Amino acid sequence: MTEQPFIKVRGLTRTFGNFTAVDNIDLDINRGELFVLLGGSGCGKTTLLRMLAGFETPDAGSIEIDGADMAQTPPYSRPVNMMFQSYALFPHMSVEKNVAYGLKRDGVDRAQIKLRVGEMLQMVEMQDFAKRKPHQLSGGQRQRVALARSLIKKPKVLLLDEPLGALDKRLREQTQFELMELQDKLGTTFVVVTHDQEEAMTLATRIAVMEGGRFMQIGTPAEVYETPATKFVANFVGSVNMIDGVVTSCQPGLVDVKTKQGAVTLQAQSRDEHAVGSEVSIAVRPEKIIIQKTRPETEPETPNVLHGTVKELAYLGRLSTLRVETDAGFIVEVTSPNTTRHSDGKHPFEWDDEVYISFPAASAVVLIA
Amino acid sequence: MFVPFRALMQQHWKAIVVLIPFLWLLVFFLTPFFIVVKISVAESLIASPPFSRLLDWSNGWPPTIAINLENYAYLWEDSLYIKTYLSSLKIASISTLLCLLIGYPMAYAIVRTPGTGKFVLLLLVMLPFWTSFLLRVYAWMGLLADQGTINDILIWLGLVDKPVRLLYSHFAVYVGIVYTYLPFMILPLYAIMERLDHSLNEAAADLGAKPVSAFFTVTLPLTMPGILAGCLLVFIPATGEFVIPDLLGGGNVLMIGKILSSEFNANHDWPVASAVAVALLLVLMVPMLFYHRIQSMDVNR
Ligand SMILES: Nc1ncnc2c1ncn2[C@@H]1O[C@H](COP(=O)(O)OP(=O)(O)OP(=O)(O)O)[C@@H](O)[C@H]1O
Ligand SMILES: [Mg+2]
Repeated sequence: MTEQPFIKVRGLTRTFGNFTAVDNIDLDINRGELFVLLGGSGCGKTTLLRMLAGFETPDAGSIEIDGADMAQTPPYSRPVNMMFQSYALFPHMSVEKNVAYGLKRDGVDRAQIKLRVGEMLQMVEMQDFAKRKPHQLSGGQRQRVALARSLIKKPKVLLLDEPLGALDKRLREQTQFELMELQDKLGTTFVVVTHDQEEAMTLATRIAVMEGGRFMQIGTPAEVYETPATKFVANFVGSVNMIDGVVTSCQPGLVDVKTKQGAVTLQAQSRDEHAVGSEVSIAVRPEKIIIQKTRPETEPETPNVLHGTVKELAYLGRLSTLRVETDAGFIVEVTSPNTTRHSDGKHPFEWDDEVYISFPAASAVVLIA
Repeated sequence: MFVPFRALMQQHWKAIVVLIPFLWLLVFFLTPFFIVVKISVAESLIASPPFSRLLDWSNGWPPTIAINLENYAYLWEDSLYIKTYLSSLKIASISTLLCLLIGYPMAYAIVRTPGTGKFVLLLLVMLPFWTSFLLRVYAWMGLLADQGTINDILIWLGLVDKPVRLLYSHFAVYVGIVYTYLPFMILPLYAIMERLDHSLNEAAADLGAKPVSAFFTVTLPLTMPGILAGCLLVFIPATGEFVIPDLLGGGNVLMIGKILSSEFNANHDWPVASAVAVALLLVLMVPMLFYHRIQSMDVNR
């Protein structure tokens, strides 16, 4: 038996004037998922989230949550709570009162409220700040209060709009794991908006990559990273080498592409059929490329071995990024892990070194658009 | 020791910036106020000026100080004055409440109007200030009179067959005060509502608050400073209002401003008039101190 999706969105559209912010979106989110909406600024993430919460009325399409249609349900009766991008804490109420607000509106009795607020503050480690006002808290503390307030009613779905946006990098990473732990413990369905691809990869069970109000791809972090569906996704999620060319042959699973620049033949795996002569791009992630000083010992006709010169070099600590100009003329970015320490300050590769770069066909994908 | 001017400015610029308006107030508010206080403890004379002097030099040095509290005692004893103070406070309170009830939704609507419409509406609120206040009160007389525009329309519509008494009544005074002081209520409310973060209302709705409940738990408490400021700006001048009760209220409406004016102009009793003014100031100190208390409480929280 296949389970019904917990959140079911069909044909959802929202326009502002003649600008379409969310364009005919279909989306299924399962119960207990930590679903991440990833996309650049202005791509419609917040608008989509606000439609789920009920603050924005769709121009077309439907939203179903746990089997119930939401079209006629006002925000205050939806089984959904939202953590706002700006936190939107009530400035005239103490931390305690902020967290209790949702329960009070539901007419929960006082003793019960006190108990649950206490537990919730304990959970986000804010019990010592119960009497403070929001303006007396740090950014990270406010974020915890906002989280506690949005969780207190045990919503079926928690919507989080850039929940960690205001935090510095360290606190952000720490909080990401806390958020995941919390989600695991509570089993609530989380829908998280972010424009940070690393954060999306860390948090998500599945990611939807958004662009111009549409979904470009929906998949697990690994799927989105390893087999991006479009050039936009490949570029947005991590860095990538994009080499343009023309298909010269297409055997089952393997595509040969003659590059536009230099006319060398590269080979990539592909599940799809590509017509001979069609224009495609080959996408390879920099860390999947092997860089060596000598020609790799493979049969001479093995494709995807290129000779070139190191043109740029950036030492990043954990790894180095090199830009290699191939004999064919195009530039390839390669990252190489710094596995050994070079105490003499020398790097294994230097500017203008002659190198061979290679990658297996399985590491490359063929992209059309 | 010589302190250079620059260094002085740098160290004490805050004090200096505060000092200038403070001195201004001291000179142009306190001086006349002390003169009024001085006259209020004098005796009424038929002379010019029509009151006795505070310091009597007629017996040479030292001068005798003549303080006469009769005027205050008179205010206390003659029930007319107490009745008038109470009537003024009642009229001012009801007018303030009416201004709040009308002004609050108006300010809210203006804030929520999109685009340039907001500024047009705001301009309309301030527009009456561009014509003379007196002129506008006279205009109301024309509207409310027995042969005035409103009665003409009522008769023409057949709703009444003889003119209704509108002018020279409490009703006319309330119309006048509410009309005149409404902008003073709307503007501070507008200022505070404009700064209100709409996402707070969304957060309230998200947590299960219906619109009415969100209003009372979020919007109302957060606009309270504007409500207090607006009420004070209406209440204080309305209490001492003279022109409106005089022109629109006729003889039927008791207000302290009118008494003050008649003591001063008709009776030529400057000391009693001054005592009325000082007592009015003391009465108005009460809401002022109350406001100050609430504000400092807000800061401490
Ligand atoms: N109320 C509105 N009126 C007009 N245009 C709007 C409105 N709200 C959003 N938009 C437009 O819709 C688009 C999508 O906005 P949205 O807030 O959903 O973006 P976002 O993906 O959340 O971006 P960010 O990462 O910057 O928060 C933007 O181009 C924005 O200008
Ligand atoms: Mg946004």
